[in-house]
Amino acid sequence: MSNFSVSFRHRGDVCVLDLTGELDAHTAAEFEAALQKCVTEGECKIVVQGKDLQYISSAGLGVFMAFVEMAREGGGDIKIAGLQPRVFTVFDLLGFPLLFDIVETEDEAVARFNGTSENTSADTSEDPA
Amino acid sequence: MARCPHKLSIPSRTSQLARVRRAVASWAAEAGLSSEEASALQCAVDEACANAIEHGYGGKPNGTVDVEAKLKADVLVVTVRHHGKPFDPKQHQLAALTDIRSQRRKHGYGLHLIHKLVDDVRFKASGHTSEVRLTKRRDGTANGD
Repeated sequence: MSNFSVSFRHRGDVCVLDLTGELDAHTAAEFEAALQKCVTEGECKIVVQGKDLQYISSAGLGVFMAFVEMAREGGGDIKIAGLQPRVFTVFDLLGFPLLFDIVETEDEAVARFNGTSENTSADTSEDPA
Repeated sequence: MARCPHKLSIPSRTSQLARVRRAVASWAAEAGLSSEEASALQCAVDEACANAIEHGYGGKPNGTVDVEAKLKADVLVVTVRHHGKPFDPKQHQLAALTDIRSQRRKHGYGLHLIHKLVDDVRFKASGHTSEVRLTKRRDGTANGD
């Protein structure tokens, strides 16, 4: 039984993925399939809503990494919203905020697709402590 | 920790990782780790078990991963053992995290995460058994002591 689910909805031309539950080495394939579907269908402006995501491991982080360049090359990005502190900590420990636009609210993430603050700079910063 | 050590054996299937996390959360709470310490240890053990399943057993489901927790003074030590392909850290140069990220690699973050989440990481391989020992220090504030 999977303790993870992902569902799709749209806000204008932005595809919002609602993640619920625990994203680990077992459930990462489900998230990967969802992102693959978005990119394959040309929906490259993606917001991942993480307010109901209870847990993430490196397998889940790897899925974000696998698709971010595809989304950017398609004219979009993967932006991440609403992460709970314990989930954000995992992103932060591995320096993912250097590569991903991680914001507090879904509204803010969607708004950033309207032309501001895309975090696509080269990753040359030091690793976090 | 009243019942020490705690032990859990799982089949080498990633579907069992959630079960491991529940067990570690319970052991950590019983040992008096704070919520943040418990979450960190839970994630580190999850990563170690995932490595055992995916690399030790190559994803084959017929192996066993043993998880054991011992409370020693102010630290909780969790040992993850498998009996698959031995892991020798001397043979595996850990790629720099900046390189892994800049190459947008999907894999390679787990060991980095383990090292950042716990206070000490020790690997040991003997015969057909490989183990990683994860030590998490208890800061003593969870129970107000």
